[in-house]
Amino acid sequence: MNVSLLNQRFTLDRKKLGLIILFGIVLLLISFLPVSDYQVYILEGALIWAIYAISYNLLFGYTGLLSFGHGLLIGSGAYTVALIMKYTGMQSFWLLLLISIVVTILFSMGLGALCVRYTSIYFTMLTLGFAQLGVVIIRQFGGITGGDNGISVSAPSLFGVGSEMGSFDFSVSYLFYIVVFLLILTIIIFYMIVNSPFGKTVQAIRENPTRVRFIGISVKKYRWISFVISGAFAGMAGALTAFMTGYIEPGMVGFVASSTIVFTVLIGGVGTFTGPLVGAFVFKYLEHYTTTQFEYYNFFIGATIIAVVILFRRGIIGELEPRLRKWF
Amino acid sequence: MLGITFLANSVSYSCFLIIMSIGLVLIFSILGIVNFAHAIFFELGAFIGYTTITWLNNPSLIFLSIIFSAVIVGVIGVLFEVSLLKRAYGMGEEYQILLTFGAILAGVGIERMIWGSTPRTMLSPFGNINGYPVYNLLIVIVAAIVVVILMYILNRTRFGREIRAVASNEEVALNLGINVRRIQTITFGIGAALAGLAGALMIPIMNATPEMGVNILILSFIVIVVGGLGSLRGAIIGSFVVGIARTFGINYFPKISFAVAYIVLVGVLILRPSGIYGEEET
Repeated sequence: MNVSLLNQRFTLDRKKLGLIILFGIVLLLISFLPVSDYQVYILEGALIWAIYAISYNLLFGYTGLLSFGHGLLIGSGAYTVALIMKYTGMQSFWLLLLISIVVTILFSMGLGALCVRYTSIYFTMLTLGFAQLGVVIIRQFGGITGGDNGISVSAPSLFGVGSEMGSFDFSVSYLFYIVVFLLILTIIIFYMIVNSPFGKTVQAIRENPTRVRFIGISVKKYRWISFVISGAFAGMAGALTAFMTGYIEPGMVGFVASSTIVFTVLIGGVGTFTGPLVGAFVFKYLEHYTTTQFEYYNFFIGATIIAVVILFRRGIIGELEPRLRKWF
Repeated sequence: MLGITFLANSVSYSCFLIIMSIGLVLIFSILGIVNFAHAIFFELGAFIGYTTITWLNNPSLIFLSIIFSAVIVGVIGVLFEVSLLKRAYGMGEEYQILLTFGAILAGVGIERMIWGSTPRTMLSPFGNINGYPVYNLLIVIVAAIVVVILMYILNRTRFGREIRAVASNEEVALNLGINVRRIQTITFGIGAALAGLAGALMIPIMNATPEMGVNILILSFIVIVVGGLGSLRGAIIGSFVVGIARTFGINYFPKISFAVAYIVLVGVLILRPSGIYGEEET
């Protein structure tokens, strides 16, 4: 498969495309197995989280920008859906999804322009600061945003059906298939981006920005574009989260939310293509089994980040891949 | 009201920011790490200070508890550096940040296990005398003492010369026979102790919770970016800029007071990207 767009050639060979589609079919088949609705719901959460993690990996793994403000971008998508639904009563799933992606793109264009001007430490501090600022703004304007109580999101209408359902029923019936479809689409698009001339350039920037600048490439511009692409998909993940859970709150914007995505990508393998996918499954299922003990949750996430950094920085995929290569 | 209260609040808050940010700057100039774990050292200082003062059962002994917290947190900082942080020195910058960032989360978890989630607070041990908030004056005095002692150590002692040598060129310092590892550990301990001191100092002003540190950390970041990363003089000037702007915001724009510090930050970054006292980036 070859696509030419904006002076870039995007390629994906048949074998890889087949593997990705096979993965999608396996996911779809799971919903036909005799599993409970709740299991489907958990799996769906992991799949949406995987979209979010893949978008974050483009920024951190491939472009080398460590952001603690990614929660702002997923939050922007989720809040766009919730606010538009609340104030205009719009129900159309695809329209809401499209609007939230567009809004998040515009938002990340502004935020990115401000943040990518600065190198790694400054970038990280700025994004963390803006994430906290976002939470404060949501709390301060509680009359509009629902403050700490959040906003509930009813099930949207999809091809004229769905809006009469409960949020949970909608999630485990129609939404699951859409999420699988969008995840597969995301994987294909990111595979093409990462292996395109653009993708190679951002990886070169990660390795040595000075040299890339010497070739005459605008490092800032490439970082910015990477930030915006990452934002677009994070926004999509945010909108899907809002539809799935039927509820949003400022917790998904701030510092802890941003740290969980760092955790996900780090444990899966920073800068590896399948790492974020694996990390998303590991994180979502771990979260599912550990949230009952909230006191230990933060400790667990933090201690694991420290252990991963010290002991196996390359993450699950990064550590396993060379060993698997030896076997196959 | 732009009166004595405004002055007292803004100056004392600036002085508190000085204690926080000079620790960050010291650690950054010796280890090249922006220490996110500063948030946790600050919170630990507040909690240990609170526990000590409750145990002493005499609020006027607050200075004893402040010194005690600073020492304990300094020791915790040394242990953290020796056991975990030193392993990250050879790694990329982002992994060093991630390590200290992980320490925030783990630390918050530990604090929840020990102290729970209820905010801890105490009233100022000295109250208001003739309407003047005396405690604010004490914060200023403590900050002044800290700055004077630190400047004395850095500029007048052999140990201070060694610190400055490592800050300006680690390799040459090593060749001159300076024990760089020891300097790194002690500097990190001093930085942590300063954060712990600031935490214990501020319990009469703010509630101690396991979430208080991150926002203070961000304010301290803004201070050191405004002042110029790695400059002690810049940190002091930056503290006053941010401290006064914050109090101004709380008085005049209470709804968006938190944003005022950011407006200052964005303004400084646009006008002078390397900060007030920062060296121009090449």
